Amino acid sequence: MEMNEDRKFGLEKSHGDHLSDHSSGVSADWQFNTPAMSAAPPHPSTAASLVPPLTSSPLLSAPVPEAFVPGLWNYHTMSVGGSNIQNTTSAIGSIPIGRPVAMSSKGMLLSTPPVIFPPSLPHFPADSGFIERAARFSCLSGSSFMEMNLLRPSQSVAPARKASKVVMETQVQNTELSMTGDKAVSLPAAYGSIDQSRMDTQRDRRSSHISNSESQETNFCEGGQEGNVDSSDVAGNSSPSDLGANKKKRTIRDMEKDQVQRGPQSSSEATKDDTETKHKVEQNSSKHGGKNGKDNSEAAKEGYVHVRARRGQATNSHSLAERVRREKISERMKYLQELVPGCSKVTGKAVMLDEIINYVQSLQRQVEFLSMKLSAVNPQLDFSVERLLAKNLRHSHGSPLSIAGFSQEMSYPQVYPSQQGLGHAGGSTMVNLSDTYRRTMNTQLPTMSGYKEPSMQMHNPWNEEIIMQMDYDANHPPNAQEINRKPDGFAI
Amino acid sequence: MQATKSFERAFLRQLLRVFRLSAVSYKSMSLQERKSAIKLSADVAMASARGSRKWTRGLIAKLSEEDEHRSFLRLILGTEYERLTKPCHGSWKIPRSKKIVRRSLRVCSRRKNNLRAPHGFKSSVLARTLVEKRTHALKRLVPGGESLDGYSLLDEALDYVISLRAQADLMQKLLTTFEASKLSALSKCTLPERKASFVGK
Repeated sequence: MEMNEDRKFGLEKSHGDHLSDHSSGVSADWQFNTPAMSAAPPHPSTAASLVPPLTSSPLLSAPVPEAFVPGLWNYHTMSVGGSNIQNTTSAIGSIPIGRPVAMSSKGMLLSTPPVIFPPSLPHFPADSGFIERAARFSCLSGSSFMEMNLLRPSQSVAPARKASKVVMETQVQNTELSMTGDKAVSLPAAYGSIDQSRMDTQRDRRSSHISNSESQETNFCEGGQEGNVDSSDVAGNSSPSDLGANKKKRTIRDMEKDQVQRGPQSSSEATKDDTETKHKVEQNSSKHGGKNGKDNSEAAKEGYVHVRARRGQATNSHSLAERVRREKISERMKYLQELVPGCSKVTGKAVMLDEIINYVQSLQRQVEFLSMKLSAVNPQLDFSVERLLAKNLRHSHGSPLSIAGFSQEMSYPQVYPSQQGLGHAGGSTMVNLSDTYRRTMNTQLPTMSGYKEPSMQMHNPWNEEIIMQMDYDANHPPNAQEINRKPDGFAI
Repeated sequence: MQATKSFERAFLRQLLRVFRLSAVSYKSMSLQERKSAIKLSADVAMASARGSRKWTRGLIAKLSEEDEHRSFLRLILGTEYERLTKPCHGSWKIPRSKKIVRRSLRVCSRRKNNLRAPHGFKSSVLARTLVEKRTHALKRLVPGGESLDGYSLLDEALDYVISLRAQADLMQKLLTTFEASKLSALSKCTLPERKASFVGK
């Protein structure tokens, strides 16, 4: 599973591995906590062993429990790996052992294995995240929906993985997943199968990780699920209203509906999940979270939020939901902070937003300016230089010129229209230009390489597919002719 | 945080394709028209390379407001156009009358302010209004951001910023390549050809 993560996480980000603790009273809306990367902790085996790791949990650098940020923890656990997740979740799950658990009729079901039960739940998002991504990448490789994953690092990226990258990736992933949770109806059929496969693999994974506890838990849940299907549905409908105007809850209902439609097996699992999560939420909100703070594992595919009230904080469901929302927003703000240059020192939503607005405006202005310059550069060339570049450079494709590679793929679409349409009196000029360009490319390489090399490097791997595409295009000129002659949308 | 290479690749491909498609009409345009055409091409390429995101839909919707652009967009995007412009099923937001919403917000905020800060001017109120103002400004900047709530707005803004940066970088590279080629070409041109190229301008 860790290999999967390594393959998928390719975003380059340097990230300090530290956890800065803020007490909740310091800033109402802002918690810039960064999760600490940790080595894979020992696999939890028993309840007794879980309690000691609590304070020495790898995710806590200081024994201040209130500062534990669940939102970050969630994504962070995804990054660290399955064993870590288990450890931390088990560590968290061990808290309620010594506490008097308020028993509702639904809570009774959870009372028996309070230790083993919670660890399973946070596995949802982690495993579901992995599996969802794996399923997505495998199933949706062709569809343009994969374009959504463009911001996610491609699988072929080197596994130089860092916590922050991963967090960002999982963040994007989670937002995407939550989006898919929202767009329950619009999910293509592939997603339906993915969800099913995900849930299956999820269950398999869960059972494989902590064999004893997991199997017990799943058995227990299944045993309790049939008896509680009705109550869970009732709970499902009532708890969203309990937890207030939380969008997530609405998505839960939608997901329920959607999953019910998908089939008995998945629906049973979904309702089981719903049962568990709702029980958990209620249980959490009914008792104080322990020293370890909040367990905010977002079951991305269901849009659930597992929230535990922190010590000394209001356990009102509204405030819990509020806190979840705030921490999600602060997570996003953190990423934006790293994205926008010169914002590392800034704290506070308003200033951050101001910086973001300025940056977006400046980028838009830059694009306009560049487009103006581009239009000035090519008054009559009409981007046809490239086609001739392509013709010439294709012959010299073997040369290691990275610039040539760039120009080559820049010009590949121009190859086939060269024969018609754009051919005009300036054709001879173009030929000369291309020759001279080739020569100057060879001579200017030392001078330009300093600038272009770093940026062009990335285009080198494009050469092969570009060449193939060029050949393909050259062999199929008729389509090109049509497209070229069609009046374009810039009609004046 | 960087845009992925596949995105940049797709972006470049789309951009060149768009330029090729629209190159026929470039000759007859003035500078301003060409500039807006190039900008449009870049935006369309960015949106189509990125795929289906809220801001891409918003961008395409904004671009298709003009009919002439719409046919161009349809040409570029093909089947994707229909898919991208149809309303997103996932948005469960009920279309609300803005007036009513604003009125209710005003009432609620007044009530909240009365409850929370009856004893004077609190900094939190100021902070909140600042944040709200800026959130609105960001909503106007990010395409399609009007209907997003705080969290997804930030998410889309993040994505949009990354894509904008990639777009600016790409155009910069294109520009330098063209300029370099033009420079070298002009320097090696024979005199009559140079004259011809100047005449053409």
